[in-house]
Amino acid sequence: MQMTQSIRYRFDRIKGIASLEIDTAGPVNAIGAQFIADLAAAAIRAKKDSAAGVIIRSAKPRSFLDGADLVEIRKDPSPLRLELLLRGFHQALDALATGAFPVAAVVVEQTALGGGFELLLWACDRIFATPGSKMGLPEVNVGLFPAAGGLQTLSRLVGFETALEIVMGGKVLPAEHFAASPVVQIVERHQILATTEKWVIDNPHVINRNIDTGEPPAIDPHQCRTLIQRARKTYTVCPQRPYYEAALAAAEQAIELPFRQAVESQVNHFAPLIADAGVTNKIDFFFTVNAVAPRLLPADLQGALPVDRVAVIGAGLMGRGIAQVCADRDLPVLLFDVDGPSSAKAKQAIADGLDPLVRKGRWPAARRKRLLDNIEPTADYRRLVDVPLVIESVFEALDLKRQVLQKVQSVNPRAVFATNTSALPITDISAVAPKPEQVVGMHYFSPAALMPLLEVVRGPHTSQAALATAVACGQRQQKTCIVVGDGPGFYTSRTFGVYVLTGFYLAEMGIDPWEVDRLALRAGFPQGPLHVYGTAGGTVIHDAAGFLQSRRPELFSLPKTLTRMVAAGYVGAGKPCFYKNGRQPDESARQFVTKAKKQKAPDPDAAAEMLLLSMVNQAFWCLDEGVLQDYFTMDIGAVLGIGFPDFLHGPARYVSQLGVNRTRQRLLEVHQATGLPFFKPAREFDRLVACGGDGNLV
Amino acid sequence: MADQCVIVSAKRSPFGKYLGALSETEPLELAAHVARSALSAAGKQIDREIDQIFVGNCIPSAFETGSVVGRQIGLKLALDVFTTTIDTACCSPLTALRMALWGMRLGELDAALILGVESMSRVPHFSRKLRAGVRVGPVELTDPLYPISYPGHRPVAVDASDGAEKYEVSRRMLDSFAMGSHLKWEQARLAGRFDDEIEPIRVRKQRREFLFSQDEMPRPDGSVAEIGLLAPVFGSKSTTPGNAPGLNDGASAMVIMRADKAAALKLPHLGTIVEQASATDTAEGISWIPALAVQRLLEKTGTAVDDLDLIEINEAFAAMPLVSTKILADGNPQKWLELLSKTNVNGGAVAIGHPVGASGLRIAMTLVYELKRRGGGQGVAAICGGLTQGEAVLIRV
Repeated sequence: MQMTQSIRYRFDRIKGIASLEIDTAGPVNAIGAQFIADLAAAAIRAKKDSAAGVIIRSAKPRSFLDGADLVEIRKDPSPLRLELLLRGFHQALDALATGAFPVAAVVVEQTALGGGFELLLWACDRIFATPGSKMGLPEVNVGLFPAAGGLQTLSRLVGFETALEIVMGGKVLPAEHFAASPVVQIVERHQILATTEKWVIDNPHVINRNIDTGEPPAIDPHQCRTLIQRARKTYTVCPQRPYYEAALAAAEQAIELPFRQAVESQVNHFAPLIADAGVTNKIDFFFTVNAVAPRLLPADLQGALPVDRVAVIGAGLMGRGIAQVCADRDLPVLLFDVDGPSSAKAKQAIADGLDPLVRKGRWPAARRKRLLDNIEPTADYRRLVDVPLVIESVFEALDLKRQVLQKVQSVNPRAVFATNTSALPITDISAVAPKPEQVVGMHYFSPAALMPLLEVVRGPHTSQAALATAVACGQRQQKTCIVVGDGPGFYTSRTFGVYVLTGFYLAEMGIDPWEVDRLALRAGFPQGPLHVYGTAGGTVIHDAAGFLQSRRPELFSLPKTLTRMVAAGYVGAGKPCFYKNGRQPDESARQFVTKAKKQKAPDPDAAAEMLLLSMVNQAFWCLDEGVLQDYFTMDIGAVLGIGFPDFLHGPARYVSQLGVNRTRQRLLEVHQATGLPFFKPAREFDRLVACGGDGNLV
Repeated sequence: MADQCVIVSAKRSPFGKYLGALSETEPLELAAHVARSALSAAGKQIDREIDQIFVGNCIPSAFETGSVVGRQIGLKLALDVFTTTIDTACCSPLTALRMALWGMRLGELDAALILGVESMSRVPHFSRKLRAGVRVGPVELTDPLYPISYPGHRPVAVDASDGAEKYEVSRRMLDSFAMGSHLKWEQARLAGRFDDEIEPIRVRKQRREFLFSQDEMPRPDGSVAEIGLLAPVFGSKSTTPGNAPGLNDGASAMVIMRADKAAALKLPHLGTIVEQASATDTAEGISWIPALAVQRLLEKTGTAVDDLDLIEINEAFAAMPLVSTKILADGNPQKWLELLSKTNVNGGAVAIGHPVGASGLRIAMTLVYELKRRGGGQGVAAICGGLTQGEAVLIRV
């Protein structure tokens, strides 16, 4: 037995099988310089031992091998270093793949991500995985792309089109998804080792599958180019995400190259990415969400009530989504709507929504069944008597929410009452409640099942236990939780609000409304502000903006265009708005756009900057008002909740990189030029300037 | 004019971090090094002009023999003049300066050498048990640095944090100012603004010998948010390793002279010491005592806060400059920010480090050099000391 730092090599002389057990430093297995050296050494050793077969496995309980060691890369983000690292990885994989022995991998309820999946695809002739294992190429999520032949090797399993979708979407899928190919075989846990050994011994000549495939090309080059071109249209709208173009350029260059040259050609597309500020921002954001976010939560989560089931009151789109995420995490749900039949109908709607997932093979049917078994529709408030957590998600109207709260507390005053509201202060909702300390905000984002963020709102009376209960529940739902203070629109809604308002004002300044949305997309926002107006619902936007204006008249103003559109019934969601059928511009909306007098339309760059600055400034006002306490929370909430461009890391990093003084100066200039109140620089900027730092906020 | 007291020269060592570059250098050597530098900085040797030496030092046990350390330094310099060693905690070197000023005004001396020295890396742990002998059981060693506190009083880290709370200085403000300290230091270093005051020193550490020429502790690549993640220490509410200085090593030296004597010797001068003042308050008041000392000083000299071009308030913790400027601004938020923006403009102890007995002279010399660089003006340097004594000096260039 040979001990190296990250791979344990064992050679079984009787069976002739070499076993490589991956166990890198850190909580998950990751590919760094040490691992690459050890992998190369293990390949040489296996050749020297004349192994009849090699089996690769992992010592970590949940992780097979989860891609590059980002901590190591971030420490010295130089393209040359990354290039050397990547070439080393290629060589090690090639050495293993070209050995005169079959290579098999054993994945036991683990994840093989990015470079880890590429190792399986390149170096292994057969992959044995238990159900519950996950594989994928999520590199684009950290601003990179698979550069160890991932697209090429995966194409052989699932075809070029699907492989490209996985690469560009940064997708991670259950291992079953790849089992249509003979290369991936799903085996139950108790049989997996025996099955793998048997296969290795029985197939001494199944070697070098990935170098001399002998398989016909999966697809013709012309069609590849068409698919790449199509992906380019979807993914490269925003030039500040260079990793998408790099991935596509690498894919394009490799189309007709033999495998080794194809892989070689990826290096020059890959290595320079690390010098891009947007890429390092994305890597940092990955750490911010995964390593920092949990540390920002109140230390005292022990005070959380044990929650063995929840009630969700209000079964609209949001309520159903919340019920679904609870039930999916094995938390039994009582689902309330106005009456019994409505509640039952809501459950049916959840069931219908899950059908496509099962049909497309994304979900096993058992998961859907278990989820639905966890949901019990009812309208009987007496059932709440022993429910520890009630999540209220009724229509956004103060009186209605107060009524529900009183009704709940009259049945069960001990329950934690979490209200899902996007703008109403917890203080207002709990003002007439007998036990305001039990009331907390849980602001979900739509669609609740998919959006990763939960904004937990601490009202002035909210008890530590109620807060902890809400946070613990959010964590169980696998949401990234941020805790914010109370106030109109809390943090995210008011900050998102000014994004939409700025969109309207840009149109009023003379930019074509649909061009406003296009420039927002080019700036990196997921959806243009006027498009948001239709999808979120014009009435909701209008009411929320009006509410914010009533509470903070010095900071908010309502564009005339918005008021006129709502008055005319142009509110989206079935009614007309800026778009027909969700995407075609509806020219008839133009009639409502009220031209601002004597104002010059900003150029596209200045307009995009205004969208960013409006959000940034509002986020900093939230610091002034104590709604936010720290810059990490600011950045997490903005990117995960309201579409602030991820390659900027968030408002605080944006200010750090632009400079505090420069940001403040730009805000003053825009404020002066437009007179819009929400561009008045937050006092936080003055404080930072006085403290002498021009950046380094986060 | 004739009895005015002028600064003829001022030099310091780069400040070392705890167990860093200066940790194997004897404080005696360190003090002698900066003293020699100050004695020759004005373009000629002025050793013979010195009438007395005043040495500030708080933790003399760092010396091989922790007694009359000032006289030890004087003899090392071959300066057989009366030498006074002063311990008023972090106030020490400014108290030393104030005593020299008295002497000058009394006509007892015409020129003095002021030193401040501290080697916190070299402070030994101690035990009082060993002298009588240990029969059975373990010997407990006391660390006088951990935490820095006084019998019957709470750790200074707690006092600082309570002061911040009392004057409503938020944790984020403390952390922002702390980060600002590192960034201002970085800007100043890049612009060469420490070149005047720092005298590099050859040091040995772990068998390696090298020229130590730049402050060792600043970390300008951090962030406010990361500092915000650090947990408070010693039971305080907001004091963390991020908004406090480290335990540091360093020494500072200054030569002051009667203006007429300096003129007679054709020595250029850096600035004038207009006046000094001290203050005391209840023992937990260290965060605001610099403000009280400054207020007394301004009153004494008939100067208004607005007349000050620059302010140095030692960052014993980030709370000190924040709380003290808030008091000087009389709670006016706008005024507070104005004062802050001219406070510690080249960074402070949170970045540079706080060798406790040397910092007072450092802020005074940073002030005089920066005023000079700006073409003149006046400013104060103020510092707090353990058990709440404060020193402030008004300097005009």
